[in-house]
Amino acid sequence: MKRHTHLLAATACALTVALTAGACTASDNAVSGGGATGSAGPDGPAIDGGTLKVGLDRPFTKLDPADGTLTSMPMMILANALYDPLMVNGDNGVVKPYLAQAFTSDADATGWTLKLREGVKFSDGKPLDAQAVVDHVKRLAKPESTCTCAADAATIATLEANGPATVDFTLKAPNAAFPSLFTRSLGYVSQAPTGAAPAVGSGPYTVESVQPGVSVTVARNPAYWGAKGHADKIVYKVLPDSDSRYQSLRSGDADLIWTETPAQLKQAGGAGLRTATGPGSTSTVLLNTKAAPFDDPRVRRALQYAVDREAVEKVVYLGQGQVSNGPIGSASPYRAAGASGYPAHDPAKARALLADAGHSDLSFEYLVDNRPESQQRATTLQQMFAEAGVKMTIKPVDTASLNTAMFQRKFQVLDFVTSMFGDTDTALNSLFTADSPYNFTGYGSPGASRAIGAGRAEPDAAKRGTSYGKAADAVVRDAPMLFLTENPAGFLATAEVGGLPDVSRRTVISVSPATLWVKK
Amino acid sequence: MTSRILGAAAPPARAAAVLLLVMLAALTLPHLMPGSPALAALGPTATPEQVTAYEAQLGLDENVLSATWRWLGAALHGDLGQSLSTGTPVTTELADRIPVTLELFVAAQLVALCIAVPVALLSAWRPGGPVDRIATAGAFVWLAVPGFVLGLLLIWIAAVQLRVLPATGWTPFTEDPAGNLRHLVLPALTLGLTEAAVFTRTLRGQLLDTLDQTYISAARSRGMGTARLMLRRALRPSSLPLVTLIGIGVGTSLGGSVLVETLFGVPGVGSLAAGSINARDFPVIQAVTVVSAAAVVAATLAVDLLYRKLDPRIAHGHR
Repeated sequence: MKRHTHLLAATACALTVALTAGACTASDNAVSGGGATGSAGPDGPAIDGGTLKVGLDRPFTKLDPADGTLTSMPMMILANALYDPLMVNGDNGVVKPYLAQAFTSDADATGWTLKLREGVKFSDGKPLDAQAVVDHVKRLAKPESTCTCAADAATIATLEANGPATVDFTLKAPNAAFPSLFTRSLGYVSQAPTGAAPAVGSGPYTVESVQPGVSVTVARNPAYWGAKGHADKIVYKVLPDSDSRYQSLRSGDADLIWTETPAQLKQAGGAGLRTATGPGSTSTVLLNTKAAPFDDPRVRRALQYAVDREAVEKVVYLGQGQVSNGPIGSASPYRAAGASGYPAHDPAKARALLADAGHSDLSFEYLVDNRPESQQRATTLQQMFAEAGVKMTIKPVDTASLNTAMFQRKFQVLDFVTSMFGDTDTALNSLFTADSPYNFTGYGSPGASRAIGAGRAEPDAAKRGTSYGKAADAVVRDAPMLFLTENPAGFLATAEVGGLPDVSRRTVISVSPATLWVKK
Repeated sequence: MTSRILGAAAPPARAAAVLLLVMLAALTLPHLMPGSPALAALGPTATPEQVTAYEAQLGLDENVLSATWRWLGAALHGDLGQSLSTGTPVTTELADRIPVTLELFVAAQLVALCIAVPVALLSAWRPGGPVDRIATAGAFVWLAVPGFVLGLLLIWIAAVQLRVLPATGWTPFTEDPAGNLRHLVLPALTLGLTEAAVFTRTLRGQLLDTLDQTYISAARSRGMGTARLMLRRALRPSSLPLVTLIGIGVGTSLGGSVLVETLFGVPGVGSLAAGSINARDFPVIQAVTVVSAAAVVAATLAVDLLYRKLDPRIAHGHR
């Protein structure tokens, strides 16, 4: 949440921004598990048994995929224990089948056929078949589920079980990225929860006990269809404060924690900890294009020129991230397609543009949450804007207020860190099409909208890339959003933890706890 | 006589008025929020049906007075509504959390008293002496240290370096009393050490006043030893302000416990409040606000009445 938030997670991917990032597609490498990217040596053979202690960065609410919190990026290590997603995010933005065997479309990406693995059962022994998938999607689409994925489900015109292992979908409009909707809430197939009991899934672990607000303990599911989890039990502890969560890892109270805090990532090597991170979040600045003076593209472009992205990266992320060049992330399969022409730092040009627009004395309020790295970013930007003659007033608010201001578009300029750019289609469609509820900047460009729509409807990957590239170029040129840095997010673990997967090429960090073991 | 009766009735009447006002403010909150609380909580993709269902649950489909009346009626029957995040009855959530916060509060008061009483006695015994100067300087420095810094420092020393106590987490007393105490130590120290500084300053000042009284001089002239004099004659009458401080602490402990409970992962009312605010879980926010206000009002009232009992001059208006 983080960056502020995790807001709606589920949608086509959600946002989650968060200060933590969050949320966009599901996960993982539930099966692979390679070496960690951190400092420790080879893991050696896997060790079965013992209890793994995981520190969560936010409280879990209902143990039900209908709740977007559970399928936000930092929480998927819990969701992946209890539920199997139909599709998962692999390296470089690829979406691949997991509980599904295949997910194929007709020529115009309107009709889709999902083939399920056969013989999979829920942990209560009931079959997880095509009808179970249909029931699950329909349950989450109902208003009383309050799932933010209801909007995704609403893009489906009809769905029906066609035999025990086949589900046919007909969409209201072509969507070549449709399978990516099944990497989060819609894809974590489960039975409806009854009362306070968790929703029943088919994951490698089942819930043993819940201490509300404190922890949830899960035990290995003996009837799991796939590779069994290594640890006998996993205890997930709710540790919302990032500093004490890190200290819990160092003291041995936790074996593995989620982090996006640059200083902790930097310290981790010296403290003998292991890291598994990927470019999971992107820092940006939202400009409200619906209100003066940011309705003038010259003013927005001036701010683009005023920002030295390399400096922001060095100051805030301590050289561990990289600059962001636009809405297509560096790990995206469509990266080559466009948006390489992001303006270089040039305060003189910024001043000239502002003078041209009649805003030589520009001043504005910058809404930002109160995390240390957010404040640091705000202060750095304030100095850069001052160099261009722009006066920026920093207004720190709590995360919930920041999100409210963002959704209600009651801001001038807003600090926004998101995991949405982990999936190019989701990011472009959500953030930059005129009628999207996530279009926080109010940006509207017929050309960009056409290019985004063409990309979504195009099954051919190369052609899609070309369309997305055109859209990205338009977004960078029109500058409704300033792109700053791509930031590492992911896990820190003690040296006793084995099986940490390499997630360095993943924009969505989702790890199955079944691949991890504890050497004790 | 009339004024005496009114004087005795005034505190409870004030308490009831304060409670009523807090309750109205808490229940009016979603009505006053700019924009739609339903959209803020559910996000802009919420369908009209989702918004309608949410607003009905919050009482936004009726006016403030009837919503308040309905809430009050249900509350009197023990129904504070349901959490929007978890679907659990709010009374269940509170019943789980209140004992934890109470335990933390009591432990913190014990820590504060165990430090404040001896230090204040030593300070007041020789005002301006080395102990007094160190205690005074220490108290000012201590008061300036924010709770989360102190908490992290304690975690670093006790959990990371010495590994003698857990850094975070909680074990219910009923499950494992020893584990419960181990998890209690650091959060109780964090809250209690800060309060100890306030307690020390207050008690020292009061002790100095008391030691100026003629009956102390009389006792001293009769040859009563210093230790006996301080403990038997000076400490008890000087402790009255501590009662007030502990009463006020019931209120401030909630504010302080939001931070400390979040830092240490303690499942009390403070962490419930923090989580509910982040999730825009209005029924829980409202219940926590009203219940906390009731606790503060009750504690203040108890202190007020206790004072009258301990010092009849107050009841008679003679100060």
